[in-house]
Amino acid sequence: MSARSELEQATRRLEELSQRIAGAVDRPATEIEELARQASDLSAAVVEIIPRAIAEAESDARGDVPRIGDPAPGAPADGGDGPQSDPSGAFVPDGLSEDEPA
Amino acid sequence: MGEVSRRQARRQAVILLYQRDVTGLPVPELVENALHAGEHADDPFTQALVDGVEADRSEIDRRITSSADGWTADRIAPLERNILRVAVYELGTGDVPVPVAIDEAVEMAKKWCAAEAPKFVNGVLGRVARENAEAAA
Repeated sequence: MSARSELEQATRRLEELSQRIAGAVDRPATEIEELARQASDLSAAVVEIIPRAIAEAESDARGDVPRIGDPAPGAPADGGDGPQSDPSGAFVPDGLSEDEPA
Repeated sequence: MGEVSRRQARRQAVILLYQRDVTGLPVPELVENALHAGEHADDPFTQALVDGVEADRSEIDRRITSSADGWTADRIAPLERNILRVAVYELGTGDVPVPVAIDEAVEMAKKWCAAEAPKFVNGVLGRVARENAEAAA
């Protein structure tokens, strides 16, 4: 499952849990505590999924989704063991870019 | 850690605000978590953006709602909402040229959001920028 699908599902479940907690005022304390624990676990999961989902969207936008048979990231193109090329040489300025050190 | 570009800092700020928005967890906890994951969450520009949006969120949301043509800020999808919040905050500071603040937000929307989001973000920020210019005149 993609990170974005995971995020969508987890966010929906978190919203449902929040609604259940809000409507559980007259329920036993143990039940409310259990719901709160589930919400806490789910929040932690959402926090972890969000950067992955964004990285996934960026990867899709660049069109660099790895294909089967592609070399691993950082692997030399010719499969040799010589020095890597200078990655700074790949930088292309893009006009309005703010992609310089703050 | 190496230097962080303003674009990277802006990206990190939107991620932190998005996490805060969806989970309700406090920002310091989210920053700690991001640092643990190797993100540049303690960058000063990132912190200035997050703190600025948090401090002025009601007013920023009011500006978004008044410029969003039938949408209230709370009904906009959370990722778009936080891209807009950061950009509206930046437009308000005057520290960044208007076209840059809008362009950066539109680029994030292009990469991260649904197909119609960049146009929506561009439209809202264009109206906010015009209001700012009129208020300053």
